Amino acid sequence: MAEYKDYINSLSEIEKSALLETFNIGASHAATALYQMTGIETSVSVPSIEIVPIKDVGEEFKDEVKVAVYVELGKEFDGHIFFITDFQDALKICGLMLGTNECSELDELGKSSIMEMGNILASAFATAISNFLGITIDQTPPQMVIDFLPAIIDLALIDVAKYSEHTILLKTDIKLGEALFKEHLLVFPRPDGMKAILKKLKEVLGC
Amino acid sequence: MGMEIRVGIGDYAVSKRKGVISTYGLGSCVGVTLYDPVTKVGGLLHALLPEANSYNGKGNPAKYVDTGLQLLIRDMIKQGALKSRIRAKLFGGSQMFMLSNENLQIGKRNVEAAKRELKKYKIPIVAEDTGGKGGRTIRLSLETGEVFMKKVLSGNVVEVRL
Repeated sequence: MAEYKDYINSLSEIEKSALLETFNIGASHAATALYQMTGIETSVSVPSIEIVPIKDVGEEFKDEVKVAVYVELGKEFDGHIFFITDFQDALKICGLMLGTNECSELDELGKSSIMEMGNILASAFATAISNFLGITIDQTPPQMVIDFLPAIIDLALIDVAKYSEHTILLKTDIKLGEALFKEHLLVFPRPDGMKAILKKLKEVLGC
Repeated sequence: MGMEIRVGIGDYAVSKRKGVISTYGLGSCVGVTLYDPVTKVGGLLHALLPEANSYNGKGNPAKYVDTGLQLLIRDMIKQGALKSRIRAKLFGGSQMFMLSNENLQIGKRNVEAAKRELKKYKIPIVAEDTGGKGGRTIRLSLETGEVFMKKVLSGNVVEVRL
């Protein structure tokens, strides 16, 4: 495969916006799913697509400690999804999910509530893309960790590094309530998964 | 502590100036620090993948353990380190998540590759904190060769000196 960066740079503007729109559909569905679950007004920012040198990803995230839920995607769209939140926000989410004010710690029940939230976001994202493009996307059960952000995502970087020096980084902010807090959904498509999606997109859009 | 040189993911640095060389959040990646206590030349590699050959040796050599160590040792010697005096410390290679795909369980392979390569160069490993499930942030002191390692335990950051 030619260097991934060149490949992405060679995309036309239409292809790029189609790609962005596809991920936007995924992100909006994720927000809707969240609203249905919590009853709290949820909004989602238009995803940003960045092509970042793998070398610089550590510098971008530093050694912040985050709570993360990880879901691996497979079949016709290969990739890795992480739902990332601050520890304090995780406690608030835990409270929302369990119907209390705020959790004081992340016990087993609290952890599974965060995991469930990450799972709903990832599923909604994957299902929306799968319906839009008419492709099958598998997903693994969610897993949760609390750790340094670069350490959490390095398995995705390792996967991409086999093919490229750059990674696509898809970021969306999900806002719950009145600027209650911002959460991130990070998506790392594998290069072949990305190519497959673009091919499908071209078929769907006829471009 | 003076200057801090930060090493990116799939990168390395060598220095003999005062200060530290550090890298953020090793998960399955492996971090190797090398140090010559006499000339105080130190180096750090943050590699993602074990052997360049398994991946056709494509791209940046510092992303592989074997070719990365080769560069690291070469630059250490260039800056005045004596190979027989170099001591290594080894970090990372954890498994952050249970994965369906065996190929992604690469932490263990990264550690094995680092040990094998260091043995080839006859560089002894004097400290190690590898495997397990958590991430590690490391800083190598160029004055002493000590490594300050941070880990997250139950949501709290703890630092140990190795």
